[in-house]
Amino acid sequence: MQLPENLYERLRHLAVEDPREARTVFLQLLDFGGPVLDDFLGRISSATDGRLRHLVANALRNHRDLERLAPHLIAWHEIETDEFTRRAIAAALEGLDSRAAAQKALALEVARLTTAIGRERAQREQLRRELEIAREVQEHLFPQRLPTVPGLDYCGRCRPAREVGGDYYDFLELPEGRLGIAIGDVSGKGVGAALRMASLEASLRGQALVGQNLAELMKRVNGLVYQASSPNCYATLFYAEYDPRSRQLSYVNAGHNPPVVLRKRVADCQVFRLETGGPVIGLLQQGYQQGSFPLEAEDLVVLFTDGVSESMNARYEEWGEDRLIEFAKTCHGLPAFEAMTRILAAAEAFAAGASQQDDMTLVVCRVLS
Amino acid sequence: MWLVEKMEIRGGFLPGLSVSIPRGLTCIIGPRGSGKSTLVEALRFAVCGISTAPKHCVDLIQANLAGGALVTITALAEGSSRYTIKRGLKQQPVLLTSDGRTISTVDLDRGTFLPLDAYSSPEIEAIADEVLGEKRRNLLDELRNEQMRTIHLSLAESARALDANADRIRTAQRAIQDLTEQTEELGDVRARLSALAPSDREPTADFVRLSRQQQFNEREIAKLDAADRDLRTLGQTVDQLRKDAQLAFKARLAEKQSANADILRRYDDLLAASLGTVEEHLSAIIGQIRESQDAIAQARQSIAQAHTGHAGELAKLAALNQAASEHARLRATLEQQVAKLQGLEEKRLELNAELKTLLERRKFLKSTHILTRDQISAMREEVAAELQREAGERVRIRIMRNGDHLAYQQMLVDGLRGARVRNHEEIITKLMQLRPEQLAQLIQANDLNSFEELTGFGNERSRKILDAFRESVDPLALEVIAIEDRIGIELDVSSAGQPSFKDASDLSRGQKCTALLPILLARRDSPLIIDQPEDNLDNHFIFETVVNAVQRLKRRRQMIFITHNANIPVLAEADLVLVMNSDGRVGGIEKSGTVDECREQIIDLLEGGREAFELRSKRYGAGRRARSG
Repeated sequence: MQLPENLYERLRHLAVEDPREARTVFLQLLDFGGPVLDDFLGRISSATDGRLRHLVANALRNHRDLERLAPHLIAWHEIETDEFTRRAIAAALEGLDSRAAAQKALALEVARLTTAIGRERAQREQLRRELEIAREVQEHLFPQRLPTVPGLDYCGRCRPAREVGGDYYDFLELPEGRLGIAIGDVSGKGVGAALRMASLEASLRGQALVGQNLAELMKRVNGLVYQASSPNCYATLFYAEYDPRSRQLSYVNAGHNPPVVLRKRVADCQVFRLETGGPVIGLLQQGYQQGSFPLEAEDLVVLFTDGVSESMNARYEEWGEDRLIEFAKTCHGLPAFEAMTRILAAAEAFAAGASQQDDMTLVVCRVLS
Repeated sequence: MWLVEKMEIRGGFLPGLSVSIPRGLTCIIGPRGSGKSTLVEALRFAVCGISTAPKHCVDLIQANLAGGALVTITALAEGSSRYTIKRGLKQQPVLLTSDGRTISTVDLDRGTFLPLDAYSSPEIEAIADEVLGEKRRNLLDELRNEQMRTIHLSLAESARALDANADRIRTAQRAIQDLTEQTEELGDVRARLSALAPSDREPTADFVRLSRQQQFNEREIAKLDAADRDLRTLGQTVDQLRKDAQLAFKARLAEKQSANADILRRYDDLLAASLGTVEEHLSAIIGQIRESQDAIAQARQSIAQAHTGHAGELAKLAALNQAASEHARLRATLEQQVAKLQGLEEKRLELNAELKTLLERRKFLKSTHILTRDQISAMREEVAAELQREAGERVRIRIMRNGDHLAYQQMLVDGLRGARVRNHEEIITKLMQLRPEQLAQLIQANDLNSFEELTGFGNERSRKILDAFRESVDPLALEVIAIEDRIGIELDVSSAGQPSFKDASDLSRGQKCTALLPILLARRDSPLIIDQPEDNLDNHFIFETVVNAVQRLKRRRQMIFITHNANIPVLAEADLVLVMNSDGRVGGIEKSGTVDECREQIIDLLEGGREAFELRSKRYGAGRRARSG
């Protein structure tokens, strides 16, 4: 017996080219039965498959065939939009009218189920393909190359969830040796989120290279995203520019989880949060405030998305920002890459294999002395 | 999206009319004969001309713009450029830019530059009434103009190929039939020949050999001719292919002014580079074909020489014939006949093989054609789904595939006429369960068993019906007969509980409009002119279906309504109300303003005016309470 995909395509053409042959092939399938037949019958429920339903309705040889196919015929009858098929099904079901109504109802239920399963299967396939596209888009967005910045050791990584989320980070090479650092989270999932992310990246890059004060920059990016997106789409975005000469970090935080700065003091670490900015972008036309933070040698800056801080274990407990910060403290003094890897590993260890709903993105910067 | 900004008329029934039309909803009200329809038809006339307008609109325009009246429209197009259109009866329209330049490259009447949707009340009713036919289909197809054009082009192409293929099939079939008749006596001649005792004394063997050779010579020439013809056709096809390839590979992807030009230029170069290779291959093929043609020509020469060589021998045939006895001569004639008939028999076999190839090819052409046709239905389903989302629950729009099959049915009725069977109606009903391509195959293959099994007519009846069809129906035409979709536009006429949908053709005049309006409103973004049919409308319907749709969509497109129902201006918040009046000689705008400014006229002129205002104040009140609470 043919593979189901081949069979579907083959019958689709054969039903036009050589209806007699198509009928013979279908009758073979009918006698063969089993999951191949069920698959086929479940699959042909869309409006475009009227010709194939016609083939089925026309293939009945006897009452036994009718009884076997009746559930499907009844289910299709209700939604049939092809005139020939509608007539053929109605004629086929005439022979069934004397049967008990209860049997018909049961048949209907079974048919609905089979059709639903067929549809579900098709949807799942579609979803899988979408996912691949989204992953690909997302991967292309992440910086492929890290510009060298004197006195700064930094790196970033995004670990996509099973269903690609809208996480985003970027490093921008700016004039006078400065470095732009962006991290954000676009609402939604899948291809849509990936595309919105791409447009956010483009807007931000476009604006950042113009060179202007950051509050103004964020206002413009917000304006661009606001105009371009539907009302319920938004994004959180933290954007900072680091000047290696002054070790000054200027930033605007648009509704993103405030990044953490850890500064070593004798026994413990001091914790600073970078909160100045404004609300998320894309929802309202509004202005932003710019923050500024003088970094010192050995400071560790940790930027993350809620996928990291809200990493969940199988009992639906969150890792939480407190635990994240406590753990980050233990990484103080380590090279940025090592710190990043450890923090991600810790978040994952907490989740202990529970399926992650959201992307996890982490950017770590360490100021060298 | 573009807007009609201003409209002016000089002369005619509405002399001196000048009105600025806002975005959103404009409602035109007024007594009968006050010039409402003239105003909107003048607008349609100025923008679209009269070539596509229905007759009653043309009549109206010709009566009311006679005597050199001039209509001037100012249009605000996308990108905020302004255009002015001036048009009078029997004059070429003038299209001007805002700085006064004339644009002569645009044919306004084609409706692509400034597309306008205008529906007079008879047009709306006609769409509602036409259950079968193209009006409703056009409503959907227009929204996918580009794709539809492409599909129709490939449909026309496959139809041409199918036609050519059908011609060749018929020719081959006729030739085969002729040959079959001619070769029928072969057995008989053979029998007579074998009954004649061979005579040893005479050189019959020579005689037979020479007669056969004569037949062979003729067939050899015919074959060489055919081969030459085929090669020439093939050569032409490949040459055409080469021209097509030049076009295809020269496609300019890069938009010169675009920022992405550099990216695409690379691919342009890649394409251009491939053209060389493709051309090389095709030239090689053409060269090969030419060589083969030369070879055929040579073969022809050699064979001609050989035939001349035979000439002397063939002359011997005549001499032998003279000298032979009666018995030998008869034998020779029969031998000659057998040789000739055998030649025809072989030709018949060849033609049968050709017919088989043609039929195989037809399968492919047919499925391409029919599956392309299916694409149209799929596209309509897509458009219908989009419109359905906008139109709301009260209105249902459905594509019933193959629902417009009158031509098919007629072909069956005609085909059945010669059959001596009773109950034609019942037979047609049963046959309409079969698809045309299915029935065509049964007729072509004369497949009585399958026919009987599929129809359940019993052996004798099936035989009669199938014979009648074989006699009068051309299966090649039948299998690709045009069958169209039927578009169901239905309105839920239940007042409560279970929805009960009725097709627009079964509705009252007012309900027809109610069913169609949400669809007309949702179609696209160009300005929309509606001349609403005058009829008692169920206010509940109007409120639920039309008012909601107008209110929602007036932000998306400009709407100009001639209305007889107060709910539309009052509850959908018309941005401008134009009150028209006439002294019988000329008409004009008596008053214009907001709904509140024209309250008095709305209450006087329109049905349900007072109730509409009451409902409006209730809604406002409710809204206010909700906001404060």
